[in-house]
Amino acid sequence: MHNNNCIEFANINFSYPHNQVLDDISFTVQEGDYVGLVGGNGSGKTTILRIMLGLIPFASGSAKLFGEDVEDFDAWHLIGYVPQHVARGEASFGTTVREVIESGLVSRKKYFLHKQPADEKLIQWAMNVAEIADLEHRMIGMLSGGERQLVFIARALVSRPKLLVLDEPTTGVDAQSQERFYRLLSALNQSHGMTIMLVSHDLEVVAREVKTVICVNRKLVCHVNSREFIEGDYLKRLYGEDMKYIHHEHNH
Amino acid sequence: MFVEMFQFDFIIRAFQAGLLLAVIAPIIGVFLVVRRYSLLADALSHVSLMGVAIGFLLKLNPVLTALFVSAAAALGIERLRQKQKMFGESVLAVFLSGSLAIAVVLIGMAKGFNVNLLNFLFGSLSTVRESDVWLIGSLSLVVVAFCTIFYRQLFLISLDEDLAKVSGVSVNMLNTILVILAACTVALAMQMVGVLLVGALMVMPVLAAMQVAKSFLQTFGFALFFSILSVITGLFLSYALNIASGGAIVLVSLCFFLLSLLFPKQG
Ligand SMILES: Nc1ncnc2c1ncn2[C@@H]1O[C@H](COP(=O)(O)OP(=O)(O)OP(=O)(O)O)[C@@H](O)[C@H]1O
Ligand SMILES: [Mg+2]
Repeated sequence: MHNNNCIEFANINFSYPHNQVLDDISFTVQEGDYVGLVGGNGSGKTTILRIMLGLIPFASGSAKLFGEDVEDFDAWHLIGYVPQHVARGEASFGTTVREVIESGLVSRKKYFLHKQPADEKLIQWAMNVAEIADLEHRMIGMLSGGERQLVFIARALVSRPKLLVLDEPTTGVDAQSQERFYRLLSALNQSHGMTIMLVSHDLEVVAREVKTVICVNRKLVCHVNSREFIEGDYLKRLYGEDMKYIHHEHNH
Repeated sequence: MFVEMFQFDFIIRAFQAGLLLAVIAPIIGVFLVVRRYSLLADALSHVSLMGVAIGFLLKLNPVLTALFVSAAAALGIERLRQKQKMFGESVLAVFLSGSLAIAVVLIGMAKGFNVNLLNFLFGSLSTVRESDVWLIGSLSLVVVAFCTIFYRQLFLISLDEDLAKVSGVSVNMLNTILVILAACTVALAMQMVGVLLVGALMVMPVLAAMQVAKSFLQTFGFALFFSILSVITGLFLSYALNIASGGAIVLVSLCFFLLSLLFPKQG
């Protein structure tokens, strides 16, 4: 049975000792959607992503990827993932941009050092899409935070995933690179039909860029399209009374 | 003199074992160093010493008891780390000092230090037996095969374990195999370089290599180069000057490390 559901969460509960993090979360994401996942610090966004990707077991409920329970899911090349803070850790890890990007091919079950011509094409494609071809042979530790973030995005893209999962990917990325980055995501969503799930604290950008918004605060606050999100009073419910969405026209 | 030293069987055995160890120690070492886990080698060497003490006490082959105890400890360490009950480093500290304490007590019960035990502490050329060479040879085959087949997977685990899991890599299984191989390497290298210097054998050539390499793959190349050269030079020096082999080998690799610092790091 294949429907078009890319992600299905049904009644997911999750707790750390003495701390219930997710309370009965249910939602589905269709293939081709571009979802912004928002909520305050500690509201459970990263936890949702980690459950969705099978990284942490959940207490009750069911989580499916492409119609299959995450516990049994093994078509990992369909998933591209950029964890929160991933670009921070490896300053002293002596590896090149190219090696990091190549590691994204592991999900296509590659062993040894062997590489096929098709793999090389994927690597070139990913570097070009992320516009980092000129960084190919640089050491990852010598790049700026923003450049490094782009490298990990290219890594996530290299297996040609159908679902791209990004946890605060633009932290530490300057305004100009952010523009470029969101253009890239839109293009991937529109011309490659890639489903995107994006966690961000930049509500303005989220509302402008995504098609659908999922708000969480331990519970599911709302799951609406981005227009409704802008017009609704969800922000108050999320962040309290004094938070208001300010709409800027972007016409640089 | 360099030709004449190869008349002795024990020298030939030392070179055979030494060269094999020179290949596998830095291969395992790279994966430990990039994960900031190089203390594992030191912890396991002290556990191995406890294994040796048990061997002496029970009148068993100390190399085999060291191998067994070290591998078992590696499993325990990895379990604790995976369950995230404690920081990786604290786990290592507990195993290191705990096993050393047990070793000291056992050695006391075995009526004091004897010459054999000193060999394990400081390393000696003359104790390497033919059976040890075979053991080290088999281990080398396994290590080289494992790390070549799973090179990409091991690289990704070192980069980020979550990314590896989301790429379908059996992270826990590969990590467990890696620490067991590390434990075997440590236990078998101990005879030649000594408990206190096993860690250096695995780590020093890697640190030197990281100064000069311009990619992860190159790090292996340079680490192997430094390590093999250190072992050969160290063994010659050990024979010629009649000094402890472990000290000689590690001093040579320390020289490589100091030289590598002169290299401008670039990216
Ligand atoms: N390893 C852990 N042990 C215990 N509690 C944890 C752990 N990781 C997260 N938590 C708790 O789970 C809750 C949700 O965390 P989560 O990382 O999902 O939040 P988030 O929405 O991603 O926040 P942020 O915007 O700061 O990234 C928080 O209250 C946090 O304290
Ligand atoms: Mg988070």
